[in-house]
Amino acid sequence: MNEALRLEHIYFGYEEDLDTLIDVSFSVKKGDYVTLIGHNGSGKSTLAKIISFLLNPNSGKIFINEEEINSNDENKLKNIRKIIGIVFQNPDNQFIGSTVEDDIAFGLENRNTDVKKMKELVYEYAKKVNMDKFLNKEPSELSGGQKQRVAIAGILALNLKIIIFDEATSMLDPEGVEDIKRLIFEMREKDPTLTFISITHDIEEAYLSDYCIVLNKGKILKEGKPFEVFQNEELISSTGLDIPFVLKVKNALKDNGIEISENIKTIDELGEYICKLK
Amino acid sequence: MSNIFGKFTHYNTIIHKCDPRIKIFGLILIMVICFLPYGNNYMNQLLILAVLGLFIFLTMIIAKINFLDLFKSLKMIWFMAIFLLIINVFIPYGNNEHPMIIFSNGYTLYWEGLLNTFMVLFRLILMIALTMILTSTTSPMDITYGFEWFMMPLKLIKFPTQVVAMTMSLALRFIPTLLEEANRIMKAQKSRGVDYQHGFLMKKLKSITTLIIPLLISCFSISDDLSLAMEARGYDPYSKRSRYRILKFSHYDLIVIIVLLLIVSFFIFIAVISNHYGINIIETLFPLTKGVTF
Amino acid sequence: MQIEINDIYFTYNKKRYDEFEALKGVSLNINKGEFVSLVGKTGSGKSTLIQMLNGLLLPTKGYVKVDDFIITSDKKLKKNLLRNASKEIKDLNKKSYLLRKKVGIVFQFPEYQLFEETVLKDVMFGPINFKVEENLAKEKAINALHSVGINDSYFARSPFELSGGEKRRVAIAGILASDPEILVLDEPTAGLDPNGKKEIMNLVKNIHSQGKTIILVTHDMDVIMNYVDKVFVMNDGKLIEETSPIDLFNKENINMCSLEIPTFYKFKKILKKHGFCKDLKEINDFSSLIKCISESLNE
Repeated sequence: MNEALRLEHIYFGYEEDLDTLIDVSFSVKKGDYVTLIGHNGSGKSTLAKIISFLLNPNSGKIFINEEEINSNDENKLKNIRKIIGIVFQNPDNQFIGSTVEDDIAFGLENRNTDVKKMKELVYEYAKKVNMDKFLNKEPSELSGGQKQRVAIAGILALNLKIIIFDEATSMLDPEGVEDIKRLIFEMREKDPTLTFISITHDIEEAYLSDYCIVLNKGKILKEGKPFEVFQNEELISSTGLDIPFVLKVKNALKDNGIEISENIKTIDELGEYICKLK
Repeated sequence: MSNIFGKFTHYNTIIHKCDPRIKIFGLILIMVICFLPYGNNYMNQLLILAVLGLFIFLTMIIAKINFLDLFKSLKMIWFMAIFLLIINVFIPYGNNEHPMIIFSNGYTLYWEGLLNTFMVLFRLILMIALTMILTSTTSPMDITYGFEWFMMPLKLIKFPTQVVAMTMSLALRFIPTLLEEANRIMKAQKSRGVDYQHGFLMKKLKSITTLIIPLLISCFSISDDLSLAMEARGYDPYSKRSRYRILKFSHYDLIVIIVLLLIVSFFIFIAVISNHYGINIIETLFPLTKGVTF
Repeated sequence: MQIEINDIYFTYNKKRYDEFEALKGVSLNINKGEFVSLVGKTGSGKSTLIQMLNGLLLPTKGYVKVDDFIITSDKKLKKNLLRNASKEIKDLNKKSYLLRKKVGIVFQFPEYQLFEETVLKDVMFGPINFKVEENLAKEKAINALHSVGINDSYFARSPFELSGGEKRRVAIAGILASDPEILVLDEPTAGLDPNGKKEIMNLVKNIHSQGKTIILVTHDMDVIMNYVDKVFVMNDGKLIEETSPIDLFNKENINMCSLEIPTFYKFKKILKKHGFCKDLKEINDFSSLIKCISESLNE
């Protein structure tokens, strides 16, 4: 069992004649970092809500751990909440508790966790996201990045297996974005079975992911390993997306007769490689 | 960042540490005391209210509440004050003995009307001060839990106290967010030439719509996001939830409740003797004032 | 000099437990027709600063001069500064709405300021507030809407039915319709996809080419690299740098302002760190960088 999630022929529309998602099918391997990219209005966020069972598709099947989940089955839905969590875009609107500790505890309270255990968990996960010194702070006293870290702690404390980021960094300043990226990296190091699905505009992030899905007008335009997905520059540009910097350099150098290995993904690696080539 | 009435402050005073249930209980008791009848003698009533006021202001000092905030919040009641004054002075009731102005047609305005107004206003100010003590020394979450505790008997009739408490805590949680939002919208509209301060009724009404409509819309979008976030974290209003915060009484609370009960019984005692037995405290304490008719 | 900011200070919640000094002596000048940007991390005081420009906030100390307007909370200072001014200027300073007309501020997520029944009415709202006649206001609104790329078929629609990007453009038109001489934009590209970003920024560039002064507050260094002439870097309530974007990104210690430099400049620094043989100082665009790398490798 190394498949975390599979979607089969998902159709969805908010109104009858409106097709937000058209025949979307893909599967996600356990422990992968998957990015979902596309322009505004391509249906990304809708898809995120469908994956996290906050919206029901009009038709199609969703499998979690190779088991089909029917959204009408209350018990199964309850179990799903123990597997899948989602972090939304707006840091303020998902801060439920009135202080940091209350917010981290919210999901645990819903699971009827024992109070003593809950205190330990809240502290443990607040520490993990580096918010243990702010336990009694109110949201109005925190920056966007800090609030987003609290939201992540609230999700992590639930010990989930699939975590979805719905443009979770798009409202943050560069410092906040770096914070969250570092956090994700650390989390994956600690638990390699954690599956991440990140819905993003950040093309560089997509290029570094394990698997990339490009959504255009409700359909999957392309999916696969990032270097394959972005290989067709024209196709990607036509959807209004940029080409990752590393790939741009590689392709430009290729035109000048210099081949660069496929394994090179980050600009650090690329810089080092170029300097060594000489 | 604006001055929010009675916004919770993070000090560590005895009042802050006190259990919210006791604070809510105390608030209700003392509010009742404010409105107890203390006989017909105005001087007597004034003296008693002054003592009560002194006690409340002392509590405010202990709780490190800024008096400036209290005065700022009084701005809201000046309209009411004028209204009360007009009603009380121009429509005399009760036993009026001290004419202030006698019009040529025999219509008389009495000093008592003025005093009545003053008394009502003073009581109102005390109420506001009391509420402020509660809200600025107790976190919204604690207030909610306190209220929920008092609602416990309602559980017997299957009243969903949990849901009510959650709604309340969310409302309190989002007050600062919405105020910030309102502030932001106002700034944007001011930049489009809206003047919120000046202008007559129609113009004011229009400028308020420029705030209310965007605010409502962001309220809806917040509640949309919030409900999704809550659902995603497994919130089910009717299933059993555990509690992260558990209220516990400490010995502080014992002291506070004893002091509170002493004060309350003292004022009830005074109310009873001055009302029922017609004993005038001022005259008893200061025999010289005997014969002053107010 | 169109905008003169003279040693200003600003404190939020003065004399309260949560007192916060947002500006600690900032001075800077902006000329007419410039395209400048204010950068700095959250809480560095840039949002506070822009609110001074149309008098939404008044500096607690120091003053801001926008053309003939003096903006300060210090009444004595204002009197002093206006002592030798003509009567017209004195009168002008009493009409704060004229300042708001001159300096248009587009706040972050401006779509939240829409409230009218139709798109056209909403855009007309600004000019009418500034006492422009209804017919003329309509004309100005239509022009503004066209300039942001909203065509006539949208005019009678409710602004709330539009998509996010369209809403934002309508909101920007709402400011443009009042015909401000100075346009201030706070994070106009926040939350947009790359295409939306380009659309908005090209729009801003267009407005600039009509001779307006543009002040842009942004975190997006790619925007700065591609559009801006001059950058003011703020940190902790102070102005720490006034420079061109290229010089800013080529700086060694840029990290201390906690700015995210564009990938292109990051890459240049990485090459330098690994001992790339050529001097990259003069190379500031992608194609010349590629040319330089290929040449050095083919040598």
